[in-house]
Amino acid sequence: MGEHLFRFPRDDEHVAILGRNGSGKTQFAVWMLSERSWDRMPWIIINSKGDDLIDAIPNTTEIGVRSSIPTSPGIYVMRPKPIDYPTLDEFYQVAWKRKNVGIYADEGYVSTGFPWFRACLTQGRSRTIPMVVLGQRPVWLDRFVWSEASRFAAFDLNLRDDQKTADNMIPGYREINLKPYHCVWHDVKIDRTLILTPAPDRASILRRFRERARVQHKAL
Amino acid sequence: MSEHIDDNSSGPSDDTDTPGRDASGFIVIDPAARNSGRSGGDDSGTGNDTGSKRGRGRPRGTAQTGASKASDTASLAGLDIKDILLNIHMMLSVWTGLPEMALEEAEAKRLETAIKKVSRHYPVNISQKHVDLSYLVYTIGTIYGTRAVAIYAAKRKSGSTPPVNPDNVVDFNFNMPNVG
Repeated sequence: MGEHLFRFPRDDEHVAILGRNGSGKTQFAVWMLSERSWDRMPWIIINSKGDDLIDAIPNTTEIGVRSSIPTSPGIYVMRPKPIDYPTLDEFYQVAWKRKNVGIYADEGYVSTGFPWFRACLTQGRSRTIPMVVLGQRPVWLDRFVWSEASRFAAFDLNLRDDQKTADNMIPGYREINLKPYHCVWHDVKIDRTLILTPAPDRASILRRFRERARVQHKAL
Repeated sequence: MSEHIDDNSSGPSDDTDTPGRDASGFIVIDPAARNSGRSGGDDSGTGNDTGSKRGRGRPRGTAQTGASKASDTASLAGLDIKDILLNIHMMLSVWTGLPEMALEEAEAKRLETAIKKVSRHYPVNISQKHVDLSYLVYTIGTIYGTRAVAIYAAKRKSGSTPPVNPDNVVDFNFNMPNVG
């Protein structure tokens, strides 16, 4: 095949993953995370919803909202409560200063308008802060997510407003009749839109985390 | 490249090198299967297609570079250093008999914060397994070590007490003559 169709996000690129509740976006996002660079740099998951698939990821370390950002590679899980949401921008500030840290935000809307969240988005490329931002309601997401993400994955969306917002960023989104757990994938840089079939099942994803951890352990 | 309609809606298709099209004309592919053969999450700046076949040699990302040596490592961020400091100083205080060696909780907290801040600049290249083992040894030490020290000290104290000799007991009397 002479042409690359699906390009995996790099460490200087952000991904926005959209979809209503139960559309498959978390499974897709965790699958993507299983292939990301957590063997080379710390990746921090902001698990606001307490998603059980995230909780099942092996070899993670729990950190607090105000914890310092670890330097060792690996996956770190933060579980902020709603009362902690306003302080999340402090975390983004530390991440921005720290550089070389991946961020997975499972509810992107809670950070809408945060200046340091925006700083991570806008300068993440030069500071190597790859971000994966998930959202159920695209209309609630920060505008900088739209302007800075170089990959979009849009699953099924319920509300017309959300569909319209997604359609603005992903040409032709509303024309596509998505099958369950499929998503529309848009690569901004090469302006290519694809339809992706469902992510692997839960067991396969967790197995992939374990396999990679084992490889790294042996390498040690 | 042949093209076909991908009707697989229940899961990933193995036939990923022949992407199909949906009714609206968009290409349908299975990203997971295209991703097979990847190792170590090669997504950092190469921009390679994830569907590329595995080449000769060691899988990418498994080389023992400095970065990968540091992988699967533990972070001080997840450790409760304050309790460790409190216990270590309490043990030192008991062993040395100097109460000044014991830390107060606020002091331990300040020290913990300082250590964690410094640790951000110095990655701890130790695996989680070794951290867990070290913590087990430390816990055993704090539980049994303090008891062992206490038992040893008690035995030593009882051993150094001079035996009571009934012959040494005399009735004291102010009229007794001075000795020597």
